[in-house]
Amino acid sequence: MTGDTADQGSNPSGGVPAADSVALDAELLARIAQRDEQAFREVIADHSQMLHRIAYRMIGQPQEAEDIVQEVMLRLWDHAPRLSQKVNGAIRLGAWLKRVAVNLAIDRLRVAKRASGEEVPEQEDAAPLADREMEEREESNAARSLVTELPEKQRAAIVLTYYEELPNSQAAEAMDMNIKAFESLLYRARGALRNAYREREGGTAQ
Amino acid sequence: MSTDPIPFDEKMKSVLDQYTVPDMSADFADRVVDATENRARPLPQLRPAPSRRWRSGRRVLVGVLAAGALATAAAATGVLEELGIELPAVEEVWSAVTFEERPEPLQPVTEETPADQHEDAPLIEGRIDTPEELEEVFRRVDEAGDIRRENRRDRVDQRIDNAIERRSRQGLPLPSAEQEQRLRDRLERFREWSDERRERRTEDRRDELRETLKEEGTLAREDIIRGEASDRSVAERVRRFRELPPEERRERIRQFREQRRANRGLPIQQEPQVLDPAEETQPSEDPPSN
Repeated sequence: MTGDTADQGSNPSGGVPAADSVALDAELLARIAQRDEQAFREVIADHSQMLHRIAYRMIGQPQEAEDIVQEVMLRLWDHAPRLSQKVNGAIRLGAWLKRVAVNLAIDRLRVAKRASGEEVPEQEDAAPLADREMEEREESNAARSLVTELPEKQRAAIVLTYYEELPNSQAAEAMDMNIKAFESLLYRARGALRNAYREREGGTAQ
Repeated sequence: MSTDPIPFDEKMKSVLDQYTVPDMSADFADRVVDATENRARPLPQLRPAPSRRWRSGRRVLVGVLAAGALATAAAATGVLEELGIELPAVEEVWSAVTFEERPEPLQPVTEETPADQHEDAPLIEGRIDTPEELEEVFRRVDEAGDIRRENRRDRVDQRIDNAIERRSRQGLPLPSAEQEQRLRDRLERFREWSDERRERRTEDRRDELRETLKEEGTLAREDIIRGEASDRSVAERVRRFRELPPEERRERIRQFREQRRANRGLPIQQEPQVLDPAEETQPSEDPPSN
């Protein structure tokens, strides 16, 4: 499940061949390093929706998710000159941006947990809603609570593979893990998610 | 541990798919671009960590330099000399390294002693059988004694200076100029008194020797250096005394004082009587009965 299809630049199954995609990303990065605002806007337009989905599903708060995406983009702006020299024309911007977004989200979750001593509180309803809308909101809240009750890394693994439909190799790359470790993490994450779902269903049925 | 994906049933998937994402702000891109203006430059990269070999090599180098600095400081402050460790001179080290012949060390310049200046001093061979030879012996003994006493006084002065300097380094209170002068004056008075006493004894002894030479016509070397031998025997006795246990030393000192007072005709001083602590705590009188 993906919210939209704006992430064509980093999608290997998209219309742009992988080699061309890498070359395009390197060219964009070089232009950003030269402080080309247009290139920067292109990257924002191509990747911010995907990054926002990842951040939101990990954090559960839209404003916080936007802050994370903004921070990712600003880091790209800051590091573009050095990154451009370092990668020497071989970079996949989507992978780099996803890795930064996942790390920032995990950091924020850990900081919030340390500050509050518990999980990040769920978003409260702001106003009375109609029955159908309330039902949908309850279902959405149920799904969100299922995901956000997972530990940070398991949550990231579910978000990247189930919601973003990334292959394990790319998800592992985004989490800066080797594939074996990621597959083990994903196995535990799916098991924990299914157990949580069954417990919830059992409670609801009673 | 199996890593096969755990399947989600359709009902569970439909629940999970309810986790939808709200739209982003419309002006998100503008806000990000605006935020790039006046943004501080990123910090420079950290200097790469040096290799392991260089780190260990650097530790060895620092250790060697530290040891060298300590050895230099110890040599400069004279610690090694006090410990009896002889340091080679620079020329010796250089000679050992280069195998070059070491230049002869400069001989210390010694002042000509008065004895060397006496060109007409009689040559003494064998026994002493003329008054001139005897006076020459006395003169040479006086010269040697003067040098010995002068060296001894220099050492005492040097010890006083060292003590004052050491106290200064340790931050201890120092004697004032007046106190130091009083100390040196007392020392000088003691030296004068000691010199007069020794000269009187020496002159008496020499008169005896002159008489002996006049009467017997000859003197052996042992007759003259008897006094010096006596000095050596005193030094030996002092050395043996210092090796005694403290109780024995105190007893000897007490006996010496008694003997000296007896020689002067003074009454022997009684040792203060030490009371038995058990007796001391006993009341002298019976406690008053109530």
